[in-house]
Amino acid sequence: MENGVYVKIDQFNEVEHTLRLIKGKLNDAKADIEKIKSLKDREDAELASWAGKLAEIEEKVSEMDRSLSSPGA
Amino acid sequence: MKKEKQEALYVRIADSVSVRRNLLESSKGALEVLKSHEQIKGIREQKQALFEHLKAKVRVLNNLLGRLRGHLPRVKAQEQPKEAPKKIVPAKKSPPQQKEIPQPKPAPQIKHLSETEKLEQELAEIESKLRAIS
Repeated sequence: MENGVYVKIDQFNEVEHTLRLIKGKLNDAKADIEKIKSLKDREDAELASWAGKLAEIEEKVSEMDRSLSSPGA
Repeated sequence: MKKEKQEALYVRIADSVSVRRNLLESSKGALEVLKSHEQIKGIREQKQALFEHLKAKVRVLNNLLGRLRGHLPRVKAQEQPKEAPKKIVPAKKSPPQQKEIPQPKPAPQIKHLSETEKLEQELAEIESKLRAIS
């Protein structure tokens, strides 16, 4: 008999079945990760928009401050 | 008696229209940020739900891998030929202490492990199995 590891045929079928299940779960998990990445991008875009909006508000408040600090004659 | 008329002091606002416009636009910007916050809340809820989903799937994956390990026989890195089987060395045991009076062992304290601790324990077991075949 050759050296090697042998597995009973019925157990081997179980192994194949389990491998198929594992591959399926891996694909599902990868799809979930892609969805999470996409949501994260949307979240980052919203946060960037917030930063922009706050910068605009800051600029307007500065203008008001300048107007109010230098009253006309 | 004459009431002294107190004169109020005024400050002139130069370009008052511009000030008013800036104020209104600032309020509008702040409201838009608050509205956007509701969107972010929704996105985060979806993200959280997906993370839970993913965690459950990875748990199932871990169980399936354990099942697969159970189906397959354990192998060592270098398989010995069957004609000359390796001498099985029993695990080292401490010699029985016959002369000593056996002390009652304290009841084992059940330690509740956190999720991280359980995972670290599992990882340590897998690593030790990996070292055994390397």
